[in-house]
Amino acid sequence: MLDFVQMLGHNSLKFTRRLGGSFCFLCASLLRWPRWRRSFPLLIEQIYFIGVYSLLIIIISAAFIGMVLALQGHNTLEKFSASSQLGQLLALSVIRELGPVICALLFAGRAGSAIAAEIGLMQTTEQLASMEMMGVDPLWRIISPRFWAGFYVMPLLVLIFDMVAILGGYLISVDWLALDAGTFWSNMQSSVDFYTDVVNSVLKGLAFGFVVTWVSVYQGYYAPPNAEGISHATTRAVVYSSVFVLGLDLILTAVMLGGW
Amino acid sequence: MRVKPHIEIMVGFLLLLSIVALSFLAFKVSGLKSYVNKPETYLVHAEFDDIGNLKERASIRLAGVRIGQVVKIHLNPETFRADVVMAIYRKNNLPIDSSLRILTEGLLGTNYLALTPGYSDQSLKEGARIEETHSAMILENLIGQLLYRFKDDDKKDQKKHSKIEHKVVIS
Amino acid sequence: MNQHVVMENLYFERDNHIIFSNLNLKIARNKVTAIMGPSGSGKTTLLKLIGAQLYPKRGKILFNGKNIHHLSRKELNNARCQMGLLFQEAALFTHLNVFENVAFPLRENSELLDFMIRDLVLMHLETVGLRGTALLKPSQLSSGMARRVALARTIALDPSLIMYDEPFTGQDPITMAVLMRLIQHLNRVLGLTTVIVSHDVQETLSIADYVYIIFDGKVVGEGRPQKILASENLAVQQFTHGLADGIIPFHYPAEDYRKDLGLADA
Repeated sequence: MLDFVQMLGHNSLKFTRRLGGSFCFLCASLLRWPRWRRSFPLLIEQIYFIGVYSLLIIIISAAFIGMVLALQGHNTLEKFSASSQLGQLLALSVIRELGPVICALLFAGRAGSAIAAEIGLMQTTEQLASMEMMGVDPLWRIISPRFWAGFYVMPLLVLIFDMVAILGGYLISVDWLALDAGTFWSNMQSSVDFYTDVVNSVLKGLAFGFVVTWVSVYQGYYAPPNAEGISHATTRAVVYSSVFVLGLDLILTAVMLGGW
Repeated sequence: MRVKPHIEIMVGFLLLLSIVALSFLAFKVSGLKSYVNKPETYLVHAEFDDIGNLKERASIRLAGVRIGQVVKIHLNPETFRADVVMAIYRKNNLPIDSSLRILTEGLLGTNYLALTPGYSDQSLKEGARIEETHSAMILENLIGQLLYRFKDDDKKDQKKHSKIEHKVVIS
Repeated sequence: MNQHVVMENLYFERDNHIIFSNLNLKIARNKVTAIMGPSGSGKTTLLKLIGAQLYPKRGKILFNGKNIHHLSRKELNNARCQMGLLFQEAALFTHLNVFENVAFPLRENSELLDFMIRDLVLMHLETVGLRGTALLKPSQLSSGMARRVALARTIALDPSLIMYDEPFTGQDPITMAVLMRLIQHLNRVLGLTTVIVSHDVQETLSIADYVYIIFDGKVVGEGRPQKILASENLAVQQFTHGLADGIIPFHYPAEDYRKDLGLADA
């Protein structure tokens, strides 16, 4: 019994220390942003590696998810002869929930794991240490641009995901299920609000991008310096950021729907 | 330090695509148009006994054409009725004795307000009140009434039957 | 000022494991100093302490007469530009090619124009004899070549002190000879203060001017190579002659063997 309590205390202390450590790490990498002329190209480069590389998988998944959602939704709504509401169902579920969340999960799988593996490798092969010995701060040169790039790119990806998913759903509902295009759009327009739905979708994207890159960068930077450490860091980056995204989604949804 | 041109091009492409997506979501999906070139409106009040599932931003229709939307719904603390504030597009001149009903789109759709025009020469002004209103048809109440009526009918039938049985026994 | 780096009463521990206790070391300017010791005696840690990537618990390290651990971030960056540290694994940036690797410290620390950087990089690559590899990726190089590229990258900032971490480990005799020649060449021609951390006795002793032998967190022997070879100290003897058993035991400390096997009668 006492052992259990001791273990509980030990683990919670460890958890708190890691949380504090990762927060310090976050502050340290965010507060180094002194030289705009040099930092901007680094940021562009990272937006390319993080954003453009994730674009393809996000577009493909979005199209499929929109299509499946339209089929499933139609199947159910038809029983209540309410298939005219399909556009509304599609747009609201994509914009409010699926867009940001699935986008973040894909982003964690594609970009988060890549960031963790890359930084872990640089740490293991002492590239970061040798950079430091050249008088170049690795937090500024390597960590900070990745962090900001993830933060900027994620809302853009969410917007693109939303659009592609809705277009995919449109394709299925209008071309295949032969719904009326006018009803589809007008029902959608009357139910989706720009400020409460689309803007919130983007805000969720910002928050998720923040969490995913934070977790991935931290896991990579503090990976144990061996091959096993890198593979664990990569796995942990994806698993932890997925869990954090889903948990944060619950909180954000509760706040946004006003149920807080 | 320079960035390779193809990286810049692709990043620019990403930005462009997301701007297209944003405008698509704004104008095609969420109908932001009504915010951008907001038509001029005037506010009109109406009180209902029961508004059912009517929500803010529900549309107001005349002969099926959208002529405005619900701006605010709150309870009138004196009459205990629902006070609905509506914004009607200014180009529509409506008679002052028009009446309102709460209807449903399809069987399970959202509620909206249907306006039936009256015959008066005077037209509704800013802050006017529409007196004649019909409450929402609430499905549960309707079904409840229907069931009640069925039960009544059953009881009457049973009484008739028992009387007949009595007669049989007596005879 | 004849001493480039001075360590005084250095005490360092990691995970409650004492690595250095009371270490005193002096590295003379423009000389080749070798720091030797068995694996796990904290030689790499020592270099990281000089580079201020690690901080000691007690004691101090003076670099050019200033305590390296008390410098501000900017002063520290300047000091680091004056010292080069060559890691064991070469630590080339895997996403850049050889040319960009050597150009990296120049691009980051100077405002030189592109054509100047190009010339400088090619000159440094020529020094290590690898100008022809400029467009290759680090993964295409052998480990000996990677170390030479890393050397070119380290001298790109014209340091006054250069530290080699295990430069000869795992190299074939030819590469070893090449690296020794380069180290000596850089020391004589550029007057670089050179620190070699190694456990390859013959090669290191043949180029060192002064040798320290570290064992168990302390300096157990120091002096010119001949003096080290003639040393009476048991640990030094065992190390220089490569004996399997001695004061540094063959067995890792453990419980009594017989007891562990359950043979001892209780």
